[in-house]
Amino acid sequence: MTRYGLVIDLKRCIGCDTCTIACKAANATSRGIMWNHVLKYETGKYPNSQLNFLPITCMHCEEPECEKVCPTGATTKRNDGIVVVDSDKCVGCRYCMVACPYAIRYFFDELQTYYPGYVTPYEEIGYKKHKLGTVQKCDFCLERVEQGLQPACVVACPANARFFGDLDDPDSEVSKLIKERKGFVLNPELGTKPSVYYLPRD
Amino acid sequence: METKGALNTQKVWGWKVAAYLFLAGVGAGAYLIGFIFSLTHPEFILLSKVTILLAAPLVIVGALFLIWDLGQKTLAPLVFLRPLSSWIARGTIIITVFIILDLIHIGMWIWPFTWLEGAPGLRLALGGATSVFAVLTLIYTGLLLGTAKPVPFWSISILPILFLVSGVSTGTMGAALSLSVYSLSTGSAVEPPLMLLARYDAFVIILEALIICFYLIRMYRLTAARTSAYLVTKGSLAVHFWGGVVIAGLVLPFAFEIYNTYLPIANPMTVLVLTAVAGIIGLAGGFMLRYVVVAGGTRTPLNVEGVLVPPPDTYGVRVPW
Repeated sequence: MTRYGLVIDLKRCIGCDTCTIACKAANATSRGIMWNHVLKYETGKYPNSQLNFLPITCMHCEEPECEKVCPTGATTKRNDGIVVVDSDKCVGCRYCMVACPYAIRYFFDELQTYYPGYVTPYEEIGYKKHKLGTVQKCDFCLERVEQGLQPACVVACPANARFFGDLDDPDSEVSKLIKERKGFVLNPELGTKPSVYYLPRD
Repeated sequence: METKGALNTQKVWGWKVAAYLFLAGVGAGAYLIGFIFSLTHPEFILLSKVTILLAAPLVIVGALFLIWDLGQKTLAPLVFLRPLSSWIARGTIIITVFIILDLIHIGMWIWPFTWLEGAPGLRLALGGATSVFAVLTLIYTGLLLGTAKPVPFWSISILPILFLVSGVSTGTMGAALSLSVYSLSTGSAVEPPLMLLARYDAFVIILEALIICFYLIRMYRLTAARTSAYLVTKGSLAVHFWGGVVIAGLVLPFAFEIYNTYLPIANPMTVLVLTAVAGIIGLAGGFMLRYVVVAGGTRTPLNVEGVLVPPPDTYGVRVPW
């Protein structure tokens, strides 16, 4: 069975946030909402300190905490492993946001446009996809994936640091990369089994 | 391991959720003590009636706070749908049953059902069943927070017990406050049940204080929750904790209750006024306890191969132009 996953090569990531912008362009999310973005943090001590980048997005966990705690069944995991939110069922209780270990769900409580007092034609069309008062998050660009395309963040990454594919297929590029480069997941101790893997810097 | 940056408190749930936890606690706690005292002191009929009258309305008002907090208020009935996995769904069922049972109890005082009041077996069975759901209402609120794995300040088995004990204490204070206000306005003599409540609550307050001590010591010892314990005792929530939870919620009500119970007072009016004041202050402290627990929750950092990175803090971000 297919289980879609994302592999992010931390050695290649240059922290340019192109993935962030590509995601916003593809999904027309409101200002302040970033289904995908890049965390920056420092390691080491001066003069040997280093700035590190950690792109994060919904981890599409195999054991999603958000799905377990959702009281209405708005959050579900599809057969292909993609975790989706049905905004028609979401009551906006935000239990999923509290329960998500990666804090990568967003509550769309106010439309913030990109120009004061003006909605661009693009925003006007794009915002129709989103329902106020509901929780939203990355869906691996479901519309694109269903057309056989890659998620927008993967296509746009200028450093070729993102790879999308089937984790259940041992011959897929993502599976091979995880195996060869010893891919790891965030917070494995929580047992959520994320479908987003990271390739180490070293 | 050192975290690379400051850990922020969660902002997803705020004072409205705390208000619900508090009001549900007072309502369920009041019912529970009312039922217990109806068995041990059947002569205090007014006390029993007051607690039954307080229970459902308080839980209903609390639930209204939760509905107010929802993004899609009109879809609120959908929260019953998944009781097998979600504590919100389970909790909604628990409080609904509790409210219905309590309303049935209130209904027994209204014609043409008044004859049911004369059937002690039925009244006892109804009281017992409602009490079970009162306990479940008190405990589940702790479990609701406890299932949020990324917030270690909530993921501790003592939280449901703390909410149970605090609910009983605030329920007792709510009942005492209502009785004293009733007495002040009608002139009825309510000192004997007030004395009973005060004596009983003083003991519960000691128990609650011990549980809070144990809770915070445990949190200090747990690396992931230490930030929360620090924020609560010494950081941004210290005023809420020491002023609200400790002084208003524990010390002052305890002092007033001891004063009322063990020191001879000539004027019954003093007892009533002190009870009312202790009740108001103590209830404010009870709310503050829920608020401190909810607002003090910090999220577990992201573990990037042993390097701990604070999770994104983007809830309710308003980007300036």
